[in-house]
Order: sequence, then C-alpha cells, then structure tokens
Amino acid sequence: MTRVNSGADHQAKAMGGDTTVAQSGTATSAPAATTLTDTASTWPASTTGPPDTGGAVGHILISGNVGGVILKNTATVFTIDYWHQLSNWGSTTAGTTPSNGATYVVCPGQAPAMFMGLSVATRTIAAADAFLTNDGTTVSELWGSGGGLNRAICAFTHSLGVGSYTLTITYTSNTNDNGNAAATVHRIGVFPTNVTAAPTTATTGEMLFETNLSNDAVLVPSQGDKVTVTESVTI
Amino acid sequence: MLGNVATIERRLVDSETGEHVVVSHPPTTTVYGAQEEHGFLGQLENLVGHNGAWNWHSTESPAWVAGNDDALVQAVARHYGCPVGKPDDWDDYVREQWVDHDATASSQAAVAAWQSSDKVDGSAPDEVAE
Repeated sequence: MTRVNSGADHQAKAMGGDTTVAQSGTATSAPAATTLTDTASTWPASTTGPPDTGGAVGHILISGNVGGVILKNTATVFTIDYWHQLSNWGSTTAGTTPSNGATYVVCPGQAPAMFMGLSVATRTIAAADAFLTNDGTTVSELWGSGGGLNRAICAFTHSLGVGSYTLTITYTSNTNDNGNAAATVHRIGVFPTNVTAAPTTATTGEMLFETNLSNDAVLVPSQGDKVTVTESVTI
Repeated sequence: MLGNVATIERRLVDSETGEHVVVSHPPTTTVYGAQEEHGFLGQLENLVGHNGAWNWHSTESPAWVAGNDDALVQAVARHYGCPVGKPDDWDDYVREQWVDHDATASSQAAVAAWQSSDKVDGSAPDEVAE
C-alpha cells in the first residue's frame, strides 16, 4: 500500500486541522449539481491540480440533508463531487440540490476516505500519482454506466484499541463493465470522493492510498464474476 | 459489533513468499460498519467472506455478535455459531483491555520479532490488500 502525496495532505488535514478550519454561509445564487456559490465566502482558493490542493479541498460542505466533498474552490464558488444524501452517503443517487439562500457549513477536518476504485493499470505505483493511471496523465479507473465495478463506498471495520482498520467491498461485475470484456484488475485506489460518471482528472478528487492486489482478479462481466477486496490500513 | 478473542494486531505479507503472519492482540470488540448500498448479502459477504473483514481482524470465530440490524446479526450468528448479544460485563471488559494494553508497543514488538525470525531476510514486510 502506498499513501500517495495527495493522501498525505488529506490525512494531515483530517487529523490536524487546516489553515482555515470551518465556515458557514448562505448560497447567494441557486446551487447547481456540483457547485455552491457564496459571494461572501472568505475561504482561500484552492491550487489547480489535478488534484486541486489547499483551499477547502477535502472538506465536506453540508446544506440541509445533503452534502458533498469539495474538489476545488475559488474565492466564492465551491465545487463538490455531488450532493450526497446524508442518510446514505454511499449512494450515487444524488439528494435534492439546495436552493438559493440555503445555509451551508464547510465542516472542520476532511471527508472520510471510504470509496474504493479499481484499475487494470500495471504502471509502477509512485507517491506522485494523482489518480489511478497507467500513463501518468489520463485516468485509468474502471467505470461503466450501470456497472458493478465502479468506485463505491466500503464497509469500515476496526478492532477497538488496535492500530489498524480495514475497508472492504465486494464488487460484482456485469455486462456494463469494461465494454463487457474481461478485466484484469491489478490495483485499487482509496478516495474521499465518489463519482457518478467515468472519473476524469477534474472529478477523480484526492487519492489517499494506491495498492496492488495480492493477486490479479480476472473478472468476466458476462459471468457476473465477483471479487472481495479488503484494504488493511495500519495507523 | 463482534466479540473478538483472537484479534489480529498486524497482518503482514512477505513479498518473497507471500506468507501471512498474524499477530495476536488481547481480546477486544470489533466494530463493523455495514453499508446500505451493499444490500444484505453484500453486507454479509463483506464481513464473513473468505477475504471479508473478519478474517483480517481475527483468527477465530467471534465470541458474540450484536447490532441494530437484526437480520444481519442473526445471519452472522448462524454463520459462526456464536451467541447474539453483548456480554453483561462488556463495558468493564472493554475498559480493562484499553487500560492494560499498549497497541502501538505491541505492534512494534510483534513486527520486530517477525523481522528477526527466519521467515524473512530482515527487510520490511509489505502490507497489501487482497
């Protein structure tokens, strides 16, 4: 397992805080599917990535019963992954977009890194990796509309008093995955953000960990092949 | 949550042999956060499956299982043949193990012992996902 550079930033802010800790405000125009504008915001802008760093990146923005993980921000506009339902954080069905005038909070700390994505990439893992990639410039993460191998939330397990935790998920492939061709899954990435479409360098978000599977998993979508992946993290 | 009487402190993999080494920790409680998105069978599989979470946290079946999702709790209990419900002295038990055990020291000592054993050449072990 490699904690990549963006993971170090995320982890530091999650455990130690941030230069700007939190903020509350009001949407000064109608929020969109992935943005909220507040012309009175005072949060410093993020630095262009991928992934964007600094600013409010990685914080959770909550408004009412929905919230999103901030991918980037300007002085007045926060861009999130999507409006997660607070009652079902892992669902890719977005909650109701807040309205103009909605109050919001940018929470202290960082979003939990509970989402796992799969890749067939075999390029040597590097700390500088900003996303799952096989060439360093384009995203190489399995994702298909209606697919079963898409980035998804994991189950968190922890033994009290023990310096570790695990993230576990069972993926079940279907004919929407990888063009219905066999996929040799070689590695996983762990993210605080989820995606509702094929991840791009703009939407993939911070990556915390990148890990090669102990054995490649060859999944044949037409057979509904499954794989259970457990990422064990020592803390 | 599940009663864990054979807790794994660290699970290490020798990059040369692929051998797994598990290091025991005093009995404790393991918490499992089932996700609605995974559905009932997925929640069960993620916990009790061959490469599910439980096998990464313990070398034995749970001593008991408890939780808010009665169907999942009952299924886990049937799978492992363990009773449902926390022990009456659970609060005291957890407090004692917290006071009496230093997880960091235990982990470091266990890794050092493993590295000096004849299982590896002294190099740092890899920790990997499966």
